[in-house]
Amino acid sequence: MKNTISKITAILTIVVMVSCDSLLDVNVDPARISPDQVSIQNLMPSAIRFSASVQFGSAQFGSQYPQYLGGQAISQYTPYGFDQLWRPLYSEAIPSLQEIITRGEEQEAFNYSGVAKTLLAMNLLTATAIYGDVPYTQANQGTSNLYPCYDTMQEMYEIHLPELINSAIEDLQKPLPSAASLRVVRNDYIYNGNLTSWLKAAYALRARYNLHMSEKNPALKAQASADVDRAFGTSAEDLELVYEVQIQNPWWGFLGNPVNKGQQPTSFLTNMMNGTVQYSGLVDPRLPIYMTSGNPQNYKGIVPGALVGDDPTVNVNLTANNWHSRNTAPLQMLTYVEGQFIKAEALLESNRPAAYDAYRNGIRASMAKVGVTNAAMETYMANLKISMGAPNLQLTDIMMQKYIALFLQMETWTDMRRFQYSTDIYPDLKQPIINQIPGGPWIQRSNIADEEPGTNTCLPEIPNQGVVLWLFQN
Amino acid sequence: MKKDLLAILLLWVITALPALAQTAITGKVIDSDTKDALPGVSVVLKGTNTVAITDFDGTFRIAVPSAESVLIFSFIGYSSEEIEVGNKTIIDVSLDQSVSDLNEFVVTAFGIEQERKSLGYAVQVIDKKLITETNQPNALNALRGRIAGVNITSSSGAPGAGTNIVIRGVNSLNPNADNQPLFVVDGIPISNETNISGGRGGSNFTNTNRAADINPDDIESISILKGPAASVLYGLRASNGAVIITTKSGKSGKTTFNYRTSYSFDEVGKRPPMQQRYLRGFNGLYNPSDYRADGPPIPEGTPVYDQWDETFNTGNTFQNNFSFSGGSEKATFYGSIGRLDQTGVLPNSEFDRTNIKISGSLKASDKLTIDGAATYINSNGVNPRMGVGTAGVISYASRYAPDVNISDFMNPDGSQIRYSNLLDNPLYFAENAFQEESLNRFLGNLGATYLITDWLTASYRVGIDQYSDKRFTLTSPTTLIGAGSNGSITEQVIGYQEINSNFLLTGNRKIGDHINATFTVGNQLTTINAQSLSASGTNFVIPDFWSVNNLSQYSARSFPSTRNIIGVFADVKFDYKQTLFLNVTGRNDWSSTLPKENRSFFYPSVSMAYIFTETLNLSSSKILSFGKIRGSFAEVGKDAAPYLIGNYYSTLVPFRGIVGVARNTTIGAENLRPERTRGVEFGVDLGLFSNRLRLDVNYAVQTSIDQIVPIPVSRATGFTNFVINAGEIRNNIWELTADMDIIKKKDFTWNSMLNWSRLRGRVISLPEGLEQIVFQPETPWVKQRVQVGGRPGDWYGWPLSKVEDQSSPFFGDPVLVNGYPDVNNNWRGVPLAEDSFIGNAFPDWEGGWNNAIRYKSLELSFLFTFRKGGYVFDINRRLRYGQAGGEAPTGAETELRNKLVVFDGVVNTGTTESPVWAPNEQAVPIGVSTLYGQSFRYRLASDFNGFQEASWLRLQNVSLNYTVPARLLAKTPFTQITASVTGNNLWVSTPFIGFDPEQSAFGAGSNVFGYVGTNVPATRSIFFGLNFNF
Repeated sequence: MKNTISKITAILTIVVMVSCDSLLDVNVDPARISPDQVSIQNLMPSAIRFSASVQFGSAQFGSQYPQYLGGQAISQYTPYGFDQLWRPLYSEAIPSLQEIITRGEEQEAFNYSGVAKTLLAMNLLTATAIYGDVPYTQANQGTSNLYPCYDTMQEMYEIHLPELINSAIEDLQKPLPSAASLRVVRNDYIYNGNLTSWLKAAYALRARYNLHMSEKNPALKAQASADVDRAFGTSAEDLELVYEVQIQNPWWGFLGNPVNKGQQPTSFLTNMMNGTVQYSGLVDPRLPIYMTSGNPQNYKGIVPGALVGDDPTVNVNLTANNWHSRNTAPLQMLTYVEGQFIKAEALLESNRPAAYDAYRNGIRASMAKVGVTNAAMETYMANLKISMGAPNLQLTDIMMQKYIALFLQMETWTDMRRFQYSTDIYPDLKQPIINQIPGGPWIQRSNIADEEPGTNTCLPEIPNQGVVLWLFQN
Repeated sequence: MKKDLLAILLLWVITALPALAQTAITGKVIDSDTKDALPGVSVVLKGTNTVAITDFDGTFRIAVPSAESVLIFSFIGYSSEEIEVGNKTIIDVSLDQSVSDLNEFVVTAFGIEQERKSLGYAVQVIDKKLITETNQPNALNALRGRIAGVNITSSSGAPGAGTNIVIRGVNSLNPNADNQPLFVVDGIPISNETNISGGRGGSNFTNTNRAADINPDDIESISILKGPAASVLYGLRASNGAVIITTKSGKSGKTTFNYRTSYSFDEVGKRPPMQQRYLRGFNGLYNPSDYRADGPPIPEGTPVYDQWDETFNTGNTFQNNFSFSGGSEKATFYGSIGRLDQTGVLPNSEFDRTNIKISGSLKASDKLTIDGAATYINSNGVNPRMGVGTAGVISYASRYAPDVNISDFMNPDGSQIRYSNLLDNPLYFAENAFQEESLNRFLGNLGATYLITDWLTASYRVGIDQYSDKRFTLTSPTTLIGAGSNGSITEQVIGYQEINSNFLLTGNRKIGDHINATFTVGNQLTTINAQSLSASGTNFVIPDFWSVNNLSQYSARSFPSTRNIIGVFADVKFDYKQTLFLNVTGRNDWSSTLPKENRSFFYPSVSMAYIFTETLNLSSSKILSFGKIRGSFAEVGKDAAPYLIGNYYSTLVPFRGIVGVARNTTIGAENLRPERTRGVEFGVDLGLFSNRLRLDVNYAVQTSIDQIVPIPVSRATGFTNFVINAGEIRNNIWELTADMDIIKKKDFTWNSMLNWSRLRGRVISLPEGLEQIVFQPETPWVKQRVQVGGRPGDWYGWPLSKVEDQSSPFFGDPVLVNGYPDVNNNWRGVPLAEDSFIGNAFPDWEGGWNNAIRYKSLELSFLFTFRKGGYVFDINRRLRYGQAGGEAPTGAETELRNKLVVFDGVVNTGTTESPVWAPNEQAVPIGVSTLYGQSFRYRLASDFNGFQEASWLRLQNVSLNYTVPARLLAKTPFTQITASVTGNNLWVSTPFIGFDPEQSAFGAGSNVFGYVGTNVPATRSIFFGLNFNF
């Protein structure tokens, strides 16, 4: 009996030991990719799409701050943490872009790393203009730093952004890598690997950066203008992502489709374009292209601070027939038009005629891009309110036209805060009819992203969204 | 000489006569209730070793020496009888079923039956009668309120809805964890996955938990093994306890048949009170295209609608079950077929289930017994989308103004009548955003027991659980949530195969005179393969064609997974004079889901029971006849889900012909260790007043360490979740069960059973560098936060501001700003990131009280369940009083409008740094836009936005049965007919305003507790049933 038992035990043990490893070494997921199977070529298309998501995300609800759209509680300055920007930026864009940069530099594929640096800098510039302090040097370190502290806006603008942008420009001019598979930037939805175009985009980005920094150092205006000249030559070279019928432009999915109308263009915008307030008697031909109205004789937008449905006489909406919210619309990120207005503003004091030319170029290019007919364009341009002559050109003219041209882009909010919502620059600009920030200040910044207080212990203290950011403090 | 011999012979004969003159006694033993013959009854000649066993027809034959001989008749589940032989030669005996003795044998690990008195840990058993009495299609729901320390929550009242069962508290912080116990059917573990659509935290559809597939009519009994000591033999899958289900098996004897049918009417009882005063519009102005109910007061004569009445209708549940069993001494068989058809209280809400089971056993020889069972289950259901958020049937229905007729929702061309761009009609939505589910499941097992010697047995069982769950989820492009993508459809097939193989060697030896030893060694192999294959897409080509073939943008995903576990274990039990019991076990598991160096782990347990009444010789006492103290210590481990370790990349949906790759946002630690749960428990078990009162008190402390948690991390790290071993939680649990036979006469019995439990969890530590774990971090005004010193389920939110200066005479008074209440100390510029503790999601204590009264042929039973404490968050509440982002002031709390009021409280006449308080005298207007919709005056305050204490007293179940007297059935083929009327959830008393607070917005099997308000509430049902035995 004892013998039998010990024999059985021995057999059992052997059976167990032998089958152990083959049964137990099965913990590698067959349906997902491991890090060594990844390459910069297949990271690139994701990184580009994520950058577009970041740019769209910043404007999705944020465009209520520059009063392009309105109709939700956010337009009353209820707490808003720009999660639609935060999430794609930190969970998707920064990890992909930084990985392309690291791998690219290792493999001496500076073409890839230059493209990635351009996109990374663009996204970070958008983010810091909105949040002020953002995590950067401590970000994307995974589990070795679970509580990344934020870099201040000043550090971002004075140290990190210029370093990144200049490094991008440098990389894009370095010699191509020797490996054949890396020589062309593949899967590039935007420029199809054309590095010259990417270089122009990098300069356009630097122009924007210099314009921002000119708040602190007016001498940078000249640099901004110089960078614009190195940037895009026409709208055809714009940095934008074109969508397809199957994966539609996010504005279509959000507002352009027939059912969802959660936000509507505001009266501030419609008044500027329908010839009733700022440009009395002059109707902007871009008006029916930007939005659709129930009554084409009378475009009536929603008063900023009101909610959708409050006023039944509001009759404008973004639809699938409008340029920005078609399903195949491009999502614009850096444009020739913006560059022209940057130049106009930068040269206004030092070189009026050049500023005037840039200003008119900007208007024309903006109209041409959205398909305004030549006739309508010329009629508009002929009006003296638009073509007042170089000596009479004022900052308010430039900024108002920039406002209209950059419809649905968050760069406008930075413009408005640079001028602190001055009605000298933006006539008839008013606070939303309900302002939920104690003390009733203008909105100056984003709140901390909603998820951050729950997961990060190294956070800046923000009493409310009415506190002016560093860049805009004088 | 001859005369002396004769005398001696005579004397000898006379004295020997009794010894030789053994009388043969024959007779028959039957069940006093059913009058069935009872085979296997032991007939013992008292004081001797002479035993006879009754045959399959209940007859026995035994030789007794004298008329004073006493025969003892005893059988499991029946009260023993002692009968003096007297001058009878034929003795017929009828034995009474002993309800209390049914608990004497308890099924524990691997189907091993143990005597309850020998167990060192707490176990509770539920008999089949209680399982089918409540007519619940999901057998778990029938256990509600009956088991101390076990919290059972139905996730929704929708047909097929899953049920959550948590034994002795949450011991895992993982929001994706399944804190559910292991389910074992006839010795083989089965899957209780819920496979929630959208993942845990997704919750749009309340999917079924797989243990609900079992036909309640097939269940013989359910044992709940509560702590690690009870479940240690099942290894790491039982670290949350185990639910041991024993199904009915054949009995030898005449073949018997049973047919049971029931039909019910189900309704939604409690609803949130709504205002019926104000028309559509905003700010007092009528506006027919504004869905919000903030218009002028409704004029007389305008039709007013109760939107809940318009949305809910009466549901029905129709159940039928037919079973048969029989057998001989050598072989027994059991078969059943059952069918459930259920329609829900919402449109497009149905569920049906068919169960077929067959089992049998064969005594192949004296030494070898073989048995097997096969079960096939098919279920189909459809349910509309509920949604956590603003897109769901209930959340839409809660926002329509009372003057809107939501039943009129279709235009002649079939499109939806749309009053507003922000709401879909709930009835239209139910038909256009839904999920259909179709399940096919097969459970089979085959086992053999071989008696190697009279003290050594080997047994082996292999079981398979295989199912395929097909889901079709559709969101039509005509709905608000479907419009952005122009419609979406997902077809998913979830496949699952689990094979378990158990081998046991059991031996039983007497050591010395008083000590009995039983040992078991065994080996268990489990292999689980799951697959999820889905085809999903967006962008309908043809508007009304609801097929996956109608999409222009596709993605197909396939996710297989494998998990293998090997275990070896040993269990040794000693009992000394059946008075002192000692049990020691040890188990070692190897799991494939952990890294190689941490993959093997060992855990022991030790438990003791001491029946002190035996030592004190009290077993015949009239007061205390049974008393046992018990204690145990045990440790159980737990492994991880497959593929958690490290970091992966995935491909994205193709865009313009190119597929990109991106890193996943969950990363797992490379050195993941197994989780461990350690439990210490002490208990006292008493039988008082001739066992008329049975008391059981238990205290347990369970500590879980090294839990594998995907902790949410800041997105700035590049990830969203980091899977590591995190933290230590301790749960302290008190359990009390009192079972009383208040009246025990022949024709009139009244049994009352009370159970009560109190659970306190506490977070003892979190891993280094981690200060808190937050669930739902993106909503600052309501979240659950776990931090050291706090408890799992702690809620944090933004309460109304109050004076905090203890020295002030106004301490505790509400702070008002400009005459209005203020939220989260906004008056002094508190950053919005700060929040305050509101309450805990788990109740302070809970329990149930059941009474069963039988008078002749009538039986009445009623069960109350009660719960004190426990904050829940009603997700839907804010939708009913706000005015932005889709909210609509339809709740009754907004009835007070367009009035000037002076709020009670104080205002600050000083500065923010040095406040000076003065009583408020300012009259302010209140209404939707001035008060209810203002975030920092009312809308986001935890006092209003959905937090409420959800204590309740509930009449869970009332049941009235009538059994037709046997004499009336004598001429019919029936042996028993019972008619019954049952009411479930008929009455609830709770301070909670809203629907029934028993709900789980995130579905069964999710680890997110306390969110309610979006699902179909638990229904009030009345069942009519008939049961036939023949």
